[in-house]
Amino acid sequence: MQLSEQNLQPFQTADLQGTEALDIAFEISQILDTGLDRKELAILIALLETGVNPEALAAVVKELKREAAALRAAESDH
Amino acid sequence: MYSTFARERQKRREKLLAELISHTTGAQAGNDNHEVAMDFMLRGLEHHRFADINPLHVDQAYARDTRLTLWSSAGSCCWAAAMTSDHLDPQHCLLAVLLDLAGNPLLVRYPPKQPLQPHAAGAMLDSNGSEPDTQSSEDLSDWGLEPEPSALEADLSDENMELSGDEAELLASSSDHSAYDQEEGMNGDTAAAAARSPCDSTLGSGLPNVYHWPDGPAEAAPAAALPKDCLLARLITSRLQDLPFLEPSLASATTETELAGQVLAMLRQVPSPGHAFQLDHDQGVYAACPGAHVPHLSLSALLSCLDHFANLGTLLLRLHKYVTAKQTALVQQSAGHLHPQADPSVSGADHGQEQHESPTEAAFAAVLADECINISAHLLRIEGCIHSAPQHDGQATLLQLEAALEGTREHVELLHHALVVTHLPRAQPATTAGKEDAAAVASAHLLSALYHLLDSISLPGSPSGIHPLPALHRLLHNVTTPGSPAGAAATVLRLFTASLHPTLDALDAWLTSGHLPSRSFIFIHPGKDTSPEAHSFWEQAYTLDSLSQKGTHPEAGPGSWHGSCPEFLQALAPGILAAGKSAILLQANSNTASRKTDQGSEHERMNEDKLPMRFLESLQLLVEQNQKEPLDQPCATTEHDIGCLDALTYVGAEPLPLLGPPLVHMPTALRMAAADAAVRHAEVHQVAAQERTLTAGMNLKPLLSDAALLPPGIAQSCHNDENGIDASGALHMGRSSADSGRQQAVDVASSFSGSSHDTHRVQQLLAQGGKRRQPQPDFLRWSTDSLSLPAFSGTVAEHVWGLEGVESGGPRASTCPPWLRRADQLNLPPASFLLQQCLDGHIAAQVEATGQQLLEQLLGRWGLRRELGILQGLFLQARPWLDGFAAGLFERLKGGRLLADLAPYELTSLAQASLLASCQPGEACPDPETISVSIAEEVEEGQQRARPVTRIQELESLRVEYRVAWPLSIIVDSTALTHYNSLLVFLLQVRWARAALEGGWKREGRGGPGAPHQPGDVLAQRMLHFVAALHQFAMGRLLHSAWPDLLQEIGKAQSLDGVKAAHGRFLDAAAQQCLLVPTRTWRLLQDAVLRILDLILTFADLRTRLQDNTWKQNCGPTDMAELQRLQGTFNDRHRYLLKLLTAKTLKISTQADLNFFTMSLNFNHIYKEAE
Repeated sequence: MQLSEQNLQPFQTADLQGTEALDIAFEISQILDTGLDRKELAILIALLETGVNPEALAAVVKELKREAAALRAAESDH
Repeated sequence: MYSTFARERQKRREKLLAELISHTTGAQAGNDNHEVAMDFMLRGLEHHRFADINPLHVDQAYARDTRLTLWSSAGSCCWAAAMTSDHLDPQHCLLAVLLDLAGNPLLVRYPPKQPLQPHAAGAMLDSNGSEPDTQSSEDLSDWGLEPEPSALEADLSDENMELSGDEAELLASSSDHSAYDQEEGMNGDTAAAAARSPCDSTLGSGLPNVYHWPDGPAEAAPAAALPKDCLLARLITSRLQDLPFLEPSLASATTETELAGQVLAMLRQVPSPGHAFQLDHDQGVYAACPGAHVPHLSLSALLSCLDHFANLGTLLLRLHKYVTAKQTALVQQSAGHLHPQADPSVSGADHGQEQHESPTEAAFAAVLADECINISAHLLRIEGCIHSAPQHDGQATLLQLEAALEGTREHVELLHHALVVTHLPRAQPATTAGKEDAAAVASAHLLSALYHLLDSISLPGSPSGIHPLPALHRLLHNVTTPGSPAGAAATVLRLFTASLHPTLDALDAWLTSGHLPSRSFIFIHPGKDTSPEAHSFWEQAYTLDSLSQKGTHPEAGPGSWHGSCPEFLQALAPGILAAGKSAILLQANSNTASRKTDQGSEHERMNEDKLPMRFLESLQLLVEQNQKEPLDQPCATTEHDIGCLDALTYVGAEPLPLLGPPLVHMPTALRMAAADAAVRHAEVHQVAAQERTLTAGMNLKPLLSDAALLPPGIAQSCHNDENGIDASGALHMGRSSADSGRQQAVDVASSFSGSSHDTHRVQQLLAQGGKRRQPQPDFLRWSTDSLSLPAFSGTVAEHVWGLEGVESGGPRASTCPPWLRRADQLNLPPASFLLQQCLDGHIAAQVEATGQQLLEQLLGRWGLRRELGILQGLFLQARPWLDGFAAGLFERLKGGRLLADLAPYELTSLAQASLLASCQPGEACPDPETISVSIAEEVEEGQQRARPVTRIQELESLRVEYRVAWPLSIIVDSTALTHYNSLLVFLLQVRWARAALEGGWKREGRGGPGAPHQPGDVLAQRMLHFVAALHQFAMGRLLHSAWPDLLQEIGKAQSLDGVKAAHGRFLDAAAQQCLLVPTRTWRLLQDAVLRILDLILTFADLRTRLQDNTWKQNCGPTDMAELQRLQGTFNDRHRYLLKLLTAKTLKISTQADLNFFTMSLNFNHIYKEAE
């Protein structure tokens, strides 16, 4: 299907609204000191939309960050 | 078996995860660490879907997903997308992630679900359900729906992805991330149409699998319930744009408080608890009705919670049904007792065939009723708390109710488990089917099952435990919950004690007076002739069934019990049986005056010294000691529990691939997650209490799902009534969340990571104008009270059941003692140790006391030793009472006369005259009338021998009988008298041979000094030596060894059975001494001896005949030849006997007495060649 300008307008509006919403969510994330950057937050929201369990997602992200920090510390020691 | 939707969703999920890993760790795709991290995250997200990793729950969740997939096929794509997790609301998911990453996890997890009933799910679906894939069809069959292919399924297949009309309209999806939508053939027009009317009122018309709310057709309003300016509404709008939502109408909405009231009414078995639950009368289960709807709760969470309550109500319903059935049966049984003529079949039935209720089951039902009444009282208390909640400006939430019912749930589950294990169907062994009383078998099974249950609870790590899952549940949650082993032990001990009470009552009556209940239900079965004066009283009047004597039936597994004796009483059963029979004997022999005295003492004893009271006193003492000094028991959280966790972790999962240095250890992560879940589960109550404290007085209602679980302030910030949540609200929400972190720092700071940083930020935020709120102790106390299960007082049960009385056959009160009824936590030793300390000792003491009392009577007034002395004097010829009888008998048998030619009365007169003539004054002589002599017509078939009957064997048909006075006839019964007669016959045979030889010797006047030598003198001397050695061998041990042993063992005996056993051992020793052991080897010996004795009789006859014909003059060649033949025969038989005695293969010469006998026969090695 060929997308016309008229058809694209709702999507652009949705993108703008999504960007604004992501800004607010990112501000909440910073207040809560979650350590997430903007891209990570966007990925997490997208993952949640696919039905991922939020607690499980938080657990694996924390574990991933912990291991990544350990790797970076090991690399800096060498 | 993925559907297209699920496959695309998984692809998108993996893509996002790969992006997240690359961004976070820097590891690119293809790197080992990237692969390991991806594997960890995929598996972690897969396995963390479930609160408790329970395969049953996984199956249930899968079945639920299948249903949701059906709904999605009808157009509700967002349902399936969201319902793959337990969190339906996107805003809830986002907040959960952010708060979890911030260190303040948000919990919405309900306790693990109980198995759902198929009909509950079937009610959610239209009967025309179709299946989107193969797996769905398999699951549909489980729910009672027949899968049938539909046009919609064909349209959803990969080969034909084009949709049209209403179906495409219903399958409209979001526009910004619609990769899978485009693959499924979604075009812009249909998406736009869906955007314009995402879920109109025509949804479901003409389509299968459309979910209908009970009060009308489904209506859709995606995000319409949220204010337009709400942050989360924007998120939903941007991310889930155009997805159709199914949302119930506001008319079906209710409040959590109302639902809580319905839950409590349902749990109290109120006939019409409300519209939230329905009772399936056919299956006897409660189910949550689909019409329940709370605006701020997600549907999945609400249904999960209501299902949880419904399962609890079902368990309570089963308990109520069982109790009611048992009480009704008892009432009918008592009515049958009052009007026996109404049912002649029952009144005239035999005890063993009469069908009646087991008192043990009645007691078990009574204590269950006690527990149910206390549970109802507890539910009423909770209901009162809920009604009093508004004065604290609070709304009772279902989660609070869940927390308040947590102890009750554990309690009910335990009671239901006890009911199930005590009434499991058991296979009846074919060997004893129908022989035992059904009530006795049921009682034994119930008590044995409770005994095993108590044992498994007191030893939670034992393999015979209830189930590993409760232990895992304790591990994941908290070992100090009311469902801990200590609490369960108190409950099971109550059940066991009360159920055991009727058995102990019956045992007490049996042990003290030999009285069995009119409808016997214990393991002692009365026989046909129960008269104490009957000769077969001790052996046949009362018996144990064969299985109770032998133990567990071999066809049954360990722990299963088929006999009528409880397993823990099996070792004591023979003693109990003997004690009761002893009591009957004692009572039967006592005179009327002493019987009255005994009855008076019995009446006094009933109040203070009965076995149940002694058991309970010992139990109380042991429990009190154990509470002060708990025994060294395995901890509730054992390695076994951790092993269960590890085992369940890998259920259905392949071993984790470890490629290179692993980035994350999966089991460690799982265990950490489980431990975190346990900690957070315990914290949820405190978080809820804090939230209620902070929001008290604000007149605010929670907006988000499970708002009671949100950290303080979030509910307040998220629900600003009309304005909804905006950016400032979100900021305030963050401040409040940090505020809650400070508030909780005292209690749960150790479990929250990064709490110090939060505390610092909280102080900053509070300095910016955050409101400081003081907690309200009253509400906090209410909340705390509602979370704990109050101790059961038991007063209600006493009022209800105590008024009914305990009449025979009527409803009876629970016999659980008050101190145990009030106990809610007990540290118990193993059940075997408990019973050994509290019950076995009392029973053994009672058995021993009764046995000693009977023995005193036996050895004293009844004169057992005197009677045994008479038997010794008569049958073992220790006294000369039958010397005259023997001499007269031998005289009559001279000249080849047979014993059958003699008249029995002649022999009896002879024996009685001999007795009268030989009795000395003052001697304990038997009454001559008690002696009789008879002659057996023929040898009994079992004793018939193949060899021809010799002359010496004529005596074997002699029957000397002695009538033993009762009750000593119990010990010296007819079998023992038969053995005594056999001994007498053997001794008479020896005596006959000796008398024959000595008579001829004396008649010849031989033996004097200078007497001339006669032919056959040497042979006569050797024969005399043989007979003398044989007589000495037999009588020496009988009189000087076996008899003192018998008297000594009787003195040591503890019961009548001990005396009988000692007497039996004496008879066995005597039989061995007289070569009467019924074995082949000993029979060879006996035959050899009898043949020699028979030869002696022949020789004596020859000598008598020759003597009568003037021996000196007429001893011709024929007689000499006969003498030579007899001498040769004697030598041969003597050698043969010695060969038998010395043959090692026969293994009979090892006996010391036999060796001495051999040495006596082979004096000076005269038969040296025989060796």
